[in-house]
Amino acid sequence: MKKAGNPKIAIFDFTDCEGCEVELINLKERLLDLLRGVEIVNWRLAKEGNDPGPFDIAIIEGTPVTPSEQGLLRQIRQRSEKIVALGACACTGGIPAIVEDKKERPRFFESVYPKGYEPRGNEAKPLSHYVRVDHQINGCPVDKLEIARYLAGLLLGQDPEDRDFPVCLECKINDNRCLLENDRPCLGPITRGGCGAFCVSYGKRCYGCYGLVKDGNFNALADRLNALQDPAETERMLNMYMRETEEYEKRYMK
Amino acid sequence: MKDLVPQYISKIEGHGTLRINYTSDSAAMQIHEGERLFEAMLVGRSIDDAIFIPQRICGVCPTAHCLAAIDAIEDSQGIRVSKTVSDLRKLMLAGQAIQSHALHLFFLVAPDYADVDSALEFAERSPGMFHMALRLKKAGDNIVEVIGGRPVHPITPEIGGFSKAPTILQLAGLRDELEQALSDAMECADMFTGFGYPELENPTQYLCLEGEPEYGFFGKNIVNSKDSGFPLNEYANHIKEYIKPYSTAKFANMRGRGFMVGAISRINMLSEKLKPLASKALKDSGVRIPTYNSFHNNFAQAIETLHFIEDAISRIDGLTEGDLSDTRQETKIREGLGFGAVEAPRGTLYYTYGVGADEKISQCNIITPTVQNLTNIESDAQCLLDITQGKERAERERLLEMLVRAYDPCITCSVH
Repeated sequence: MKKAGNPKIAIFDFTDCEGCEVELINLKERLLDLLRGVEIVNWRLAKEGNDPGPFDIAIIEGTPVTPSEQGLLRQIRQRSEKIVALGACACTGGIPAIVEDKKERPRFFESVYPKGYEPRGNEAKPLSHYVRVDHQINGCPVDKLEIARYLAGLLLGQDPEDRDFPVCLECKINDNRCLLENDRPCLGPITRGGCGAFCVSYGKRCYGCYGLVKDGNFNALADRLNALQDPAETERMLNMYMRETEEYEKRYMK
Repeated sequence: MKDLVPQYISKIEGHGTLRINYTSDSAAMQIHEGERLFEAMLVGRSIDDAIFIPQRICGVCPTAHCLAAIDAIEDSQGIRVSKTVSDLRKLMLAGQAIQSHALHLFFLVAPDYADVDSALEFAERSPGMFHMALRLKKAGDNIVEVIGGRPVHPITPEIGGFSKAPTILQLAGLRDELEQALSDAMECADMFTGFGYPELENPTQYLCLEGEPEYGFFGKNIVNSKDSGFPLNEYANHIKEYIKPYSTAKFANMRGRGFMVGAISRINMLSEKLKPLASKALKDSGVRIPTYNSFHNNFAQAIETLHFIEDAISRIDGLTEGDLSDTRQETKIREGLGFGAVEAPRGTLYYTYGVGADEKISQCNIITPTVQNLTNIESDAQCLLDITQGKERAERERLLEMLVRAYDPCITCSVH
């Protein structure tokens, strides 16, 4: 950061599980190293005295589900030089975005809450639906080493590079057996890498949590998955972490 | 720009406000977190999703959600797991408790008693204590990472066992770290014994799983300090959820009254099952058990941190004598209804899953520990208001915030 004085950082969380903030804390001693020469001026999870800004960097976790969160996000944008979206909920809408807003959300409220409940939330969208987002740290949860890479880059005044290769690349590096080649569903080919093919390496499939990779061929993979399973199951696989993409919208929301 | 300095209580998981009406001296626990509608979202999805998704209810206790979900599905299918699988799961839950308690005790609670704004200040002011906290957190993180693949949202647990089992060498490495963490945990127990907890005496019903046969983890029966308890599959008849106009989280009560779950309940009900060092630390503390002071929940969490490290060490000893090969089983999914529960760090976590003939989830119900505690937080706040009449407003506010933090509410969990 070029300004005089220590960079001022704020950390906010909207509706989510807070697991990405836990990963941030999981950096432990490394977090202290990263934050040397940085001032954390607003962080509700960790401190009492919180400052209204302006901020050099606002790190935001979660999806703004309620109108008051959506308003707060717009205020943060006005007072922040850079906004960093932390984790799948902030970057893609995450798990809360599985719920379709127009038909499902009202019906789901009725099934989860007793009569007389007044819903607060109205939609679950990525931060970029409301404001300009400068950087995204993907993942559900984010990988703490990715947080360190982005933070270090930003604090050095660089523009940290986004990962634009698919999970498949990391499966090859890890020498994992390809699930799709063995007729088992996987979202690796269209999912942004950076996780080290974590889930596949531990015996599961890729769930797509880093979101759709640049130039990922969504339709080709959806067709391939439909040949392996009930197309409704393919749709469910894709509405987790990819519902808020143009590709999903075009294929499923018409 | 008032919103940028939210009125929420700081240093708790999620967004809540304790609203006090000083004219009538009454308290309301307002919860503002947005609704995510997990129970409805899961219906119609696959068994695999029913394990992957609900962990994301909470990033602080995802392992508890993951294993409670699996417990319910296995119950619906009549699946019995091997002793190795059962022990690895208990080891994960011990790790989960250590991670969560260390985070809560040092990063959220300790600043109240050391009179600092944030735990980050400890790094300079009391580096010894700060690094002890990090080592304890790491000990818990590493257990979950070795078995589950990573400390937040583990991936390996599945129906019948694990998609990938740890090696004996990895477990032996864990054991060494845990041995070293033992002295930290004893120091932590000492430290939390020595804090000057505010006075409060407000007896309630204390609930937890009976434990099979050990302290915490899993169980098919719930014990209650006020009566004989109930079997797990009847939980919904006993624990009733209701709504308050000022909260997006449901509240729960039992027979119309508040109750308490979590470390204080477990210590109150099952202290005879504690491991030797934890048991001794409890006896030496001079704290009378059962305790009716909810601030002691933090003391109970420190005792438990020691207990779960002891438990983890002896469990690893048992596991490394075996061969760790029986950690997977083939399962054929059929229609069924199942009930699952674990002792999560903050208390009993209940799951109901129905599985349809199409092998998809047909119904889902989840009751989290914080939902169960909300009614009691209000009644404790009321009690605290009553006994602090005449004190300065700022002092009363400070005590009330400390009270809420003492409960370690996970508001994220409560609005799921």
